[in-house]
Amino acid sequence: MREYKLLFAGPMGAGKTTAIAAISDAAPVRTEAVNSDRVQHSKELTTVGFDYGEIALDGGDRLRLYGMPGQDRFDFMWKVASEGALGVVLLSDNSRPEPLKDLALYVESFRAMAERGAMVIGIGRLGSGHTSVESYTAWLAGQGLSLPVFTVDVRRRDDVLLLLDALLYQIEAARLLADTPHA
Amino acid sequence: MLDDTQLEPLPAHFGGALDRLLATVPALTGAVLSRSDGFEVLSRTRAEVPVSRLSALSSSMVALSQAALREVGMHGGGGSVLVEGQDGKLLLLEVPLRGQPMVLAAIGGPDLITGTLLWAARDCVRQLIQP
Amino acid sequence: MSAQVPKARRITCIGFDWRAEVSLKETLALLRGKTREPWQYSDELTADVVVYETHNVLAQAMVRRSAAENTGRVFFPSSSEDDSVLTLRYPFGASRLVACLDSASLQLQGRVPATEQAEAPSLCQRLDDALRAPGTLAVSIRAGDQQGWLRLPERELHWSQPLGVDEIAGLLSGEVEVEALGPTEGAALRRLEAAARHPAPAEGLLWAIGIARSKGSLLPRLDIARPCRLRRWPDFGAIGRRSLDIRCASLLTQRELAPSHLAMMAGIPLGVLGNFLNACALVGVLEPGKAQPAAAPAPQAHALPQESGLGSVLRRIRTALAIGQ
Repeated sequence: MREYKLLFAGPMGAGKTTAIAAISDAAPVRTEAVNSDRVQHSKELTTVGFDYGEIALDGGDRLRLYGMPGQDRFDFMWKVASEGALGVVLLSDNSRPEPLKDLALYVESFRAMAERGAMVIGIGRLGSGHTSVESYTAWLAGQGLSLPVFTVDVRRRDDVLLLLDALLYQIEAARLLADTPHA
Repeated sequence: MLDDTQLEPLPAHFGGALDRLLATVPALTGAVLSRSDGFEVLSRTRAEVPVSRLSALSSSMVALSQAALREVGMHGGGGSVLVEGQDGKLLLLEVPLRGQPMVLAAIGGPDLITGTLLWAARDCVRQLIQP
Repeated sequence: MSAQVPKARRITCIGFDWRAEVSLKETLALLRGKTREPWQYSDELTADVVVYETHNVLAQAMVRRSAAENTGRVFFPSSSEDDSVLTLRYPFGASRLVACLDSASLQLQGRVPATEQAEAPSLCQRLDDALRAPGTLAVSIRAGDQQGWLRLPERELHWSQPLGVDEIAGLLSGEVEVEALGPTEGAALRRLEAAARHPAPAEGLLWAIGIARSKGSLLPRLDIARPCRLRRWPDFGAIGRRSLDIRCASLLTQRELAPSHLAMMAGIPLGVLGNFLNACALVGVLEPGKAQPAAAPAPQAHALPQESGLGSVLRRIRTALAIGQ
């Protein structure tokens, strides 16, 4: 049996745990602790290890879904999980004060995947903030990156599937183009 | 992190409990008490210890070990994680304080006897919960 | 594009994979002479008959809108819990399609076929021309009871009412007037400013127009042999998330390609890509590449490489999640 993994990252409260729960075959494994950082986010619990979900693939293989803890104190977990990952779904919470600054932290931490196109960005709570989708793509362009950016509500399974659909196409396109000489 | 104004004042006996732990086990390099979501609360060290990194790591490791136990059908708190290497040991213990669970991390050199470490650290947890 | 058949009624489909569109076109060609009236496929949502995927958000909005405005357009859902409703599920069977078309003919009886005027430019093209006309300060858009305007060069959109899916559905399925306003039309501009005050996301609307109101023909300023690329990902908006667009955008943001080459790499017929390219051009993310136009389809056919290990994994992930192909 072979195993593949995808990561979900982004700031606390962006919906990583929810997104994994929306698509995992079985109820995800959660490692949540009482959140004492109510200034960052008002939620009761926050992920401190990782969330884990899985999807069975044809042929007995397995796709593992890892939700990274959001706070940057846990960046050791990001590094460990990045090893051998197919790609990463970055979730942004547009209601936070500086969503692009948040994005910068995660893009930098998962830079290798961003550079090979294996990253997609889902913006949640777009209307609760003042940063437009265009600002996200413009910021990425300034970083020399062109990555798919979508507004999503990760409580909706279809929205999570949209992100995965785009991520898979990104990975596939990079592979196809690597096999094809420039015109 | 919580503002100081919002934070419950740290119970006075916490410092004493950590002091007694280090006094009881001279081979300990340090002890760090953290909230279960990885924020440092209090530490006592005899050498350089990256306290905030250790706090975050401790909470992750305890949460992962709890998740592993749940997966095999073992529930309930009061768990521990022991990590051993050539240069020493790291023991993580849950501190099931109501409302704000915590994690105690105790770090010791290679000569530290595991039984001694476990006994002393559990005694410290007891003191933290029941002054 | 298909030749104009006089007085043919038009049928379109929304919310399906591009394969459904190709299949509908092909089946219609086979059915020539077997239906009460002649039919032709249209890329535009202004067609007489709309076959829609029941779960598609835009389709749902169009059905609501059409019922409210009594447009007389006939809709066939892909599924229904009501057995008495004629449904048309992909893959479309020929006999079921004939039954649906003949039923539509009866419902449309007495109504003049809403024939597409081949010579009239598409809404996409009119809007593109207006946006690019020299000296344009704003472009006004008027459709039925709603209107709005795009301020240039920022492309800020203001609408007469909150611009939701229902409003966009109305805009995509009816007559739309577009006008470029220059410095001499100050009075008209001020009237628009007063009448349309709701800020709305411009890119999602422009994208939807590019996809749904292109009449299937490539904007004249685009060339299938000239390499191009996307300078960034477009914002598809709430209703324009087609798998085909995501696939093509992935390729065109990572490498400049001539549309003919893009079609080959994406494994999608060139004729189906027109709306995608138009939408990219309309929202302003399509830019010319640096390479010279290709005389023949450029690099060697790597279109269908042997499925690699990674390719197989990606395919199986899609299968497990029931997404894409």
